[in-house]
Amino acid sequence: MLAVLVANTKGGCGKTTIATQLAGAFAKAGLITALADADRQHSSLEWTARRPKETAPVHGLDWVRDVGKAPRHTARLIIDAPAAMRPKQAEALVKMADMIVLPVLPSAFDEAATARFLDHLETIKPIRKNKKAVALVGNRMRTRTRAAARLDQYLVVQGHQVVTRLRDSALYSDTAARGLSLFDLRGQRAENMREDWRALLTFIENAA
Amino acid sequence: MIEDRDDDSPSEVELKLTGDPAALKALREAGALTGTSGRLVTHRLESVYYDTPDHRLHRRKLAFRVRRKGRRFIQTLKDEGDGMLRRGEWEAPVASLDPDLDALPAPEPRHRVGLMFPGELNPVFASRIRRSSRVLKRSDGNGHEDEIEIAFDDGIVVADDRSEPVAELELELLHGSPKALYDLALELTDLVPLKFETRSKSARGYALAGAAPEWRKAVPLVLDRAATGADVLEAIVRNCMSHWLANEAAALDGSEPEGVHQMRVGLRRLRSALSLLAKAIPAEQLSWLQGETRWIAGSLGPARDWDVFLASLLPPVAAARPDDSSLPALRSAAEAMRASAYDHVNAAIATPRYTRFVLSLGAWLEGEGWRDGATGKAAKWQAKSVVELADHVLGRQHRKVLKLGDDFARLPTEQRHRVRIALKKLRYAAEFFRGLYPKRRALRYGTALAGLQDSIGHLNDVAVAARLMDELNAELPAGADPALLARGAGTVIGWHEHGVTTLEPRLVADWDAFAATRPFWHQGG
Ligand SMILES: Nc1ncnc2c1ncn2[C@@H]1O[C@H](COP(=O)(O)OP(=O)(O)OP(=O)(O)O)[C@@H](O)[C@H]1O
Ligand SMILES: [Mg+2]
Repeated sequence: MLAVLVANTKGGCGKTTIATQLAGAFAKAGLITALADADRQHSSLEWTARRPKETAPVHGLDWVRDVGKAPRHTARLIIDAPAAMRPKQAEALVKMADMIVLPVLPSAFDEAATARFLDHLETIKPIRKNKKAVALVGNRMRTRTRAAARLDQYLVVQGHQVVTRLRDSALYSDTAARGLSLFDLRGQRAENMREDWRALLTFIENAA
Repeated sequence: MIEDRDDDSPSEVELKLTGDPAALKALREAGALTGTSGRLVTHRLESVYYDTPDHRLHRRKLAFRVRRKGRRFIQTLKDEGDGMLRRGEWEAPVASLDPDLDALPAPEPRHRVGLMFPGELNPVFASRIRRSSRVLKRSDGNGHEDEIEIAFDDGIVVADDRSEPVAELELELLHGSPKALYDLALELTDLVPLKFETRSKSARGYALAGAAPEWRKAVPLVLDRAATGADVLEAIVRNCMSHWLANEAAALDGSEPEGVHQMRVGLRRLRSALSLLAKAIPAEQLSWLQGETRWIAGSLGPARDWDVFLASLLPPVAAARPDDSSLPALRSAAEAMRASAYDHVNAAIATPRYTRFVLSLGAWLEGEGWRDGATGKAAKWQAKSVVELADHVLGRQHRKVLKLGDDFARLPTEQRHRVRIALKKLRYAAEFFRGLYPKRRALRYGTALAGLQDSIGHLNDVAVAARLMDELNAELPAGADPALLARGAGTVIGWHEHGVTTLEPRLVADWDAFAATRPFWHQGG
């Protein structure tokens, strides 16, 4: 099993969006997939509950109180972290994850929060020893804006590469509301948008 | 005992031999084989192997192909297996030569392949083979019948604009004991010269597509607490043999020093096991096993030594003395020596003696050969419980090291070498058996042992450097300047000799730390 933690102490940067989309992608690929929700808002769990019967199943897990276990045979476990993580909780989640996906919005405000979070991560042993990959994901990017260029520059300075950039699109809130992911949709528009995910999914698969 | 795969996953049991195409053709007639042969059937097989551009499946030790056989298409996912006979294999019919991930059921084998983005899987190489096969049925002499498919494969593997001929024989067990495969292979090698082939067609295809051959470390041994001495012998020999053979292709290739190194470590672990478990092996078998493994390990020795010289003995000296012209001269002479040492490795592995030993060892393993002629003492040791055996083996080797190393600080170099060799054997014994004991103590002991091995290993650097320089002196490459090389050699030996002197306090401290570490096994047994 490969466990992917989606985390950033910055609120609203897209953790739940990315976690549910990833879960949808793996389920659609035929892998037994679980989505663990560690946030008391339960947005990921509610998404799994909304998921239509005819879509590939995602097993929702409630990890608000404690880090639990994934069902037997799970191939991919996605963990949706809360913005306000207790230090103990952060450590437990990082320990159990094989890699970390860190969403960042293109704003100066977010950069500072992300830098603090990256610093915090560096204090956790397996990350410090470079044993766990951290994938930065630029979220809600409008291409060729100054903010986007700034973010790129900033992240390289931090010693991290942006693995992918996700465009800003209403399709994310639309699919979320219906318990779906881009990977459950037909049509050209969804297919184009799925391309944004190629590099991140390949990155995750190469860690498996 | 040691198979770590799930028992319910499908697998194939198969052995490959390569040889001269004309010789293989002669064997096809099969008149010389005992048993009842079925009709010879010939098929054309076209197989396309798929992977991601960065060969992710290959890195996961998988081969994924679709094969056309007549009008049918069969998709197959195989894993690397144990490097000897067994590989996991999943097959399903598909509609065309294109792969169909939905034909792979979850969890296995679908989970092995993982998520593939559309367009991510592409052909990497293909093979076109003419396969003539027949089924051979033969009695094993104990009233059981073995059924083996013998396939003669003749064709090519193609990757882009490169191709390589394939001429090989595949023996696949349809029914009966795996020993029958080795017995039949031995019979065939009596008829024509054949080589035991460790590489699958997919491994060859990847090599052709530019991937360096795979090497690997030992797989940690998992011993069942209910095992007997005989089970332990089987598990360890199987583990070491697989370690050795899994690295043979990389050793032959020579571009990655880990190949020869790991192949040699596999053999050394095997030789240590034979000596540690000597009491459980009938005497005649023991001397056969020791003799042949010593010969193979010995054939790899010079290649490994020159690799070490070029990778770690020479570079620090050369870096410290950039203007010393004797060191580049020494490097090119050493490279020539290394190349001829690798030729020697290739020649040894190509001998009938080597293949014969691999096959005989396989037959011994699968047929539990140690039971034959196991009288008195050997039988008693084979029946012992694993923990009793491990306590005894570890205790004895530990005491041996302590005795050899007594008054370590004052011990002459010669004697320290004996300590070093005994330690190595102790290390392997600890690795074989540690799983049977409390983790923490085994770990602490292992750490102390590894620390000491590390510092005492520098003694060997000096010994290797001195030996190689003598060898070089005895076989001076054409055109070499003897005086220049002699100066370089003296500089390298002196450098490392001095290194040993500097390390003396640390070595003595590491010895003391080791000698004070509590054993992790039950003592007094
Ligand atoms: N790429 C995007 N394009 C458009 N809207 C997005 C995108 N990513 C996220 N959003 C929207 O931004 C809002 C916040 O996203 P989300 O809930 O995923 O963030 P979060 O990090 O999980 O928040 P919290 O910290 O509250 O858990 C949501 O309304 C979501 O639909
Ligand atoms: Mg959220």
